[in-house]
Amino acid sequence: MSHPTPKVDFQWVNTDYTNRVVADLGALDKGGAVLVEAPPGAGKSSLTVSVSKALADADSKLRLPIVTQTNEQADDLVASLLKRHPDLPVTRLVGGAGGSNAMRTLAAANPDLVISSKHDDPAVKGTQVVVATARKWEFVRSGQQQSGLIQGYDLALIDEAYQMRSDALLGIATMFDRLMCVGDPGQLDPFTTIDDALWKGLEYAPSRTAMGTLSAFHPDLTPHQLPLSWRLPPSAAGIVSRAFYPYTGFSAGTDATQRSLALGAGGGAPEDDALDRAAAEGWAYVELPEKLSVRTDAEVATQLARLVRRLLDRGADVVDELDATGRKLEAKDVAVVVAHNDQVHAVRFALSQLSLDPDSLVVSTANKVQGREYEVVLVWHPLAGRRDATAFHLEAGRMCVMLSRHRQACIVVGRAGADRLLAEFPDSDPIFLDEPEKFPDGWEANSLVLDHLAGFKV
Amino acid sequence: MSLIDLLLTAEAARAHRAVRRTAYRHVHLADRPLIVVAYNLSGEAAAPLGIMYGTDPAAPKLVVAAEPRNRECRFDAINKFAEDLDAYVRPFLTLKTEPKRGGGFRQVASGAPQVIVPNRATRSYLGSRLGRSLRYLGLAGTHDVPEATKWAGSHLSWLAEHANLPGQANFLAMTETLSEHFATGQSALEDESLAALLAWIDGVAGDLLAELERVELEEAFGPVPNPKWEAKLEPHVKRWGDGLRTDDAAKMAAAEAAVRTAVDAALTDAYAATHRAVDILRAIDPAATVPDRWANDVYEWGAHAKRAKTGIPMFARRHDALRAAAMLQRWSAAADELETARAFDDPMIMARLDAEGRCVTGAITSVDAQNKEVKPGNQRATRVPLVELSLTGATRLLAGEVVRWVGDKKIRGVVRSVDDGSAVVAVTDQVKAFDTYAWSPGVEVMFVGLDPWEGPNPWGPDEIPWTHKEATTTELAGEAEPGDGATDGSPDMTPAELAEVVVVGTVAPDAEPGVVV
Repeated sequence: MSHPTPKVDFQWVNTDYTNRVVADLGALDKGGAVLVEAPPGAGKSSLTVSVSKALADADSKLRLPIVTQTNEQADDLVASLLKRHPDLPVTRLVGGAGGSNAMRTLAAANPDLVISSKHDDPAVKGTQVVVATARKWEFVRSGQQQSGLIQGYDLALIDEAYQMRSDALLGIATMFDRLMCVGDPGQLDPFTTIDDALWKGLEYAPSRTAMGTLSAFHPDLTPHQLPLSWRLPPSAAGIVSRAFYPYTGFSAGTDATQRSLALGAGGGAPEDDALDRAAAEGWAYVELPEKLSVRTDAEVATQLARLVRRLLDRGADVVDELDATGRKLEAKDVAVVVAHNDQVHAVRFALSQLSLDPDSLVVSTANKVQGREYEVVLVWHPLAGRRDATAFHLEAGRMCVMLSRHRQACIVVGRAGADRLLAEFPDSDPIFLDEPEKFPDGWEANSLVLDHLAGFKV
Repeated sequence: MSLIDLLLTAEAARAHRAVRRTAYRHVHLADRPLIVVAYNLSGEAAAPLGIMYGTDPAAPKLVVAAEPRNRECRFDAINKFAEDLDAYVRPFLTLKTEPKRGGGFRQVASGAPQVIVPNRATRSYLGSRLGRSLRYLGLAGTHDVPEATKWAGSHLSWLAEHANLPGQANFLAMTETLSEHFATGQSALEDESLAALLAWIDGVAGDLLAELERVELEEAFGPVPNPKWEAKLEPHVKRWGDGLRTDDAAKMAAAEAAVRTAVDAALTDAYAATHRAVDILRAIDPAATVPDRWANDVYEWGAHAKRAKTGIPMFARRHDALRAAAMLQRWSAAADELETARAFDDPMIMARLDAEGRCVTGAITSVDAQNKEVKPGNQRATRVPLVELSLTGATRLLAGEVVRWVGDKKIRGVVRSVDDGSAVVAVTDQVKAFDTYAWSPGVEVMFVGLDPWEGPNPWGPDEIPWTHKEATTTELAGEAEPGDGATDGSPDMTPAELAEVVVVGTVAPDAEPGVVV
């Protein structure tokens, strides 16, 4: 990606895109949308925050609804809004169960933050930005419909729009004349456990992604592409861009000299090769011998736990563009990402066997770490020890989330034979008429990733 | 597959005999369900060679089409079946009036039909293919058929759509229901053969494996016949066609008799097997929430019955955006409710969840019943009893997950902390009910990580938003009601009929769902 200025910084890109988006929003007709696609760590939240602020500044009477997909995302967004603009009047609209502890702590520090479950509360009406989940907005719309009085909004912002299901957008869109949708198209698609064959091929199929429906009916929408990832180091941006964003592409916003992970003294331990390689090159692939195993493969879990243990024992200094003097790596900077819930348990068990508190770091599934970032990420390869390669295990979004959470280094643990499994396993999923191809293709993305990892085998 | 399922499969494989997967039966069985088995000419969408049906195991009816590709011949058979299906369903269309909660009256169905078929393939054949092919006949100049056939198309279409509702019992496929209740030593794909499944459950005189091989080669319970069997049929079908062309009634009658004999023999086995499957299930005690789910089936059938008062209920060619979204939400919610209901009804299903690590199970080590906390959204502290357990098995639930006490579903809590040996559960809901039970140290308790949404659901939107339709047709879409199909030439629902469709699951929070008089 070329860029007009030789020396770009985060602030420059953010301001530039904020101006472009605000200008586009101003020119937007009723029933129109501005889309912003962002690769991992491209400053999506910052853009949402600064666009909200710019809109609020431009119109003191504005009430801007922001739609998130989960309560955690809403809480995070409110926290970043207030961190950057403590003077901005914000409401966190919550469900009947009340606000989370995080919100209560935030409200203690920001007395102007309104936390309410009632959309028509005068206190809520006094704020400029109202943040709630899509589900909550659906209840707001439903309540207004029942009282026969829909108070529409001119414009709403949808955060993480690519994780939204089409029926969720259907549930709220009658309230909003125009939309700004921000999201990462490379992440995991929303899903349903109900058989959706009945609606396959329909543009408005409720199980499709909201953005899929929106662009099917409004093919003229051309998204803005955020060009740089501020999270992924140069060592990772290349492969993640190639495998998961082949058409749009992106690069790292930092250069290799700005980041470093300096490990403490090592040598002697079997894990040191992998750690040293990851620290030096950004990647390491630990390949256990080929074997068909159960999903909760204890050997993979133990290998992951040993790597974590050794990493924390050796310790490391983390240097990056935000903190050039460096700081000590802590357990909370480390995450282990797996495909299945029971693998979370297996890794946590393995960690506690090595006298590590499993709660001191993050062990989670790909679905739950979307939007999060860590310094060092360890990945349980989804194809390790399997004898089939189902659509679930090949889903490009899952692999993309796993490989794009780290700022410094990523260590993947797998089993030999995954390449053969990919080559030999036939795709037996049914094909539906009019159903758009999933893109990028999971099989191809996984092959590219395996090729890449082969270069970092220890 | 959970550990317990693996274990049961291994046990069944070793014993050459199916083993029970549940302690109770989780579907309603009507006193006299209509059993339907059918063979369709392979390669054709809805061209039945024969349909055998009835409520009495000893006295099935059989309709046969010797050459189902001939329309007259095909509809001779279909019309007879349709008439009988309509006659079976008709009594359930009677509505009764009952008082409505909060004043007024409403009309509800007094019962609902139950149609049972041998396997999933027959269910989809009968509902989505045959039913769909009949429901638009006579409209817009298409081949006209007797009223009863159109009615049957409508009923089958209702059954086909309702079959998507998790836990429904109006349209059952025996392979599906039996597999939910029994584990065999074969794969799920092989369990789709009802004959093989029954061999596992009932046992066979000689070697099971030899019998399974025979079954695979010789018995297929529709709707696609065994190829060998169909090859034997082919000369007769051809002879019927020759007879038709040469106007040779005797030749046709002879050919038809030959086809009838073959179809009768094949379908008689399938019909008997389906009845046998029902008997096996009937011998199992029903679970506690089965009547509730059947009551819901009857209630939902009431919407169809209500529409039937003013003529044959019509079905849109496709769901429009509003209905598709409402249905997905309804079916997803029903799937969650069903999972919870079954687990609380059936200790074997709860044990399976425990083996999957979805419970915290152990002996109480301490209880702090007077613990007070300020809950989110509250100003004052309320009681949140803490129960500490010494775990007897592994759990994969993490701190923060919502659980319910297995002894009383209402008692809800949150896992406060969990490690390899112990866990603390904070009881957040129904503390008064909590007090009525004895929570003394040493007592073994179990909390399960199930938490279906029990509150009211939001209403569906009253119009299709701009995001879900084409921008250029805004004005057009403003005039045409969603899904009335006026523009694509398809026979479809009128806006008035569409407005009549009761979309269950999108009712007002306080209103009682139902058809208001």
